[in-house]
Amino acid sequence: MNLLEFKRRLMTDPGDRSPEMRNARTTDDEFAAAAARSDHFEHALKRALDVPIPPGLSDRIILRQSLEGQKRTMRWVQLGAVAAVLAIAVAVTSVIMNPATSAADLERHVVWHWKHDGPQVLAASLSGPEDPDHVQEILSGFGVQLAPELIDQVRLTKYCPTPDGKGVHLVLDSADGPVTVYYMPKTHLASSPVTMSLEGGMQAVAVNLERGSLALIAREGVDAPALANEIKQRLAIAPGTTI
Amino acid sequence: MKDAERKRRFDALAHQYADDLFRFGVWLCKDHALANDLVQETFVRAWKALDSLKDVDAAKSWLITILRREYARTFERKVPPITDIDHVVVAEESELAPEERTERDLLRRAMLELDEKYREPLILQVIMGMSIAEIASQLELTESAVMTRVFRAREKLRDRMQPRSDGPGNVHELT
Repeated sequence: MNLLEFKRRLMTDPGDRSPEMRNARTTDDEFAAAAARSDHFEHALKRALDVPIPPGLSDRIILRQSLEGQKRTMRWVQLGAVAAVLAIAVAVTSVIMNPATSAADLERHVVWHWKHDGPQVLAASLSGPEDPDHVQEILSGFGVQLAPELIDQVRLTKYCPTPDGKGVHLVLDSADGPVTVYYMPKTHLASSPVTMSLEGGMQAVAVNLERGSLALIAREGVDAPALANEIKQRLAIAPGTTI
Repeated sequence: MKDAERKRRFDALAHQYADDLFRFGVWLCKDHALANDLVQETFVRAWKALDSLKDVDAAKSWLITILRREYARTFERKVPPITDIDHVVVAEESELAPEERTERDLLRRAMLELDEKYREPLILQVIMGMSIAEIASQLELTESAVMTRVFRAREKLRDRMQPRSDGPGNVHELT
């Protein structure tokens, strides 16, 4: 095997430990150097792809399946009893899978979230407004809807991470200028409201909702709690959806 | 299959493959939150179809097939238009040295920019530990096409990391 072929095989199947490849690695200094560079690159690649796993991922998958199984078993029970048991199961599940988020944990998330793309998304929203149907489609995926008088104020909508999975990042127009809202469908705050200061003269306030919670980010001086409360009143559970 | 046996098999699959499927999902859809949902839905479907899994040794490929179908069916169109590294990696603790972190972040950004036809076979190989033959079967490609794609994937990543002076030169398609 010549050096060119050796390098080609390292690039296509670096884990190949056949006798032929093992021998080639020690043919001479050039082969050994190529193998060392490949090993370093593969190590770096594995490290780069090794992203953090959500805590308890497999346990949550198994728990979810167990609960689904329980629901299937109970289909034969009288309807009233099923409804009552399911309500309890949902409440218990909610507590197990979504324990209340502390103010400190929420603040860490909001600070990180704002720092990582808040100003950029705000700037991108200048090209809005967003298509109202698109906004409702995204929100309805989480079982909520925004009142018509607010939907026209939305300049940008996109999915975003929350402390408990996927949520929605919105930018809305207000009388005090654009404000950012993180809708966190599975996050329940241990105490509400939570207020916090952010970099760049920004402030945030987070409140619990009928479903999940939201964090509103605005410039210092804006009455953020009032705005958050206004949105809270207008972000309702979509008809036909159960809590 | 009895319920207890079914549950035991399912739990074993979840414990064995959930983490790697999540990593695969993250780099497939380039979004941490979506990948989480994708893996959850994959296992919901796996539970429903568990009786069709006759060969335990084929479980990994079987789960990847479910995940890829679910991605194409539901999740692909949900990938956010704004994608950056922080959608992929959320709140990571790191004990790496600064230069290692730089190298890691460069590689991650390069991965995000890699075309899906190169990225997918590469992550199947590196994350899922699949052979060229297994990847070819999964992606319904010839083995030589897979070899070309993983070669090109590495070539593009290495080009992004540093100007190459030791590569095998202008390599033509191997197909």
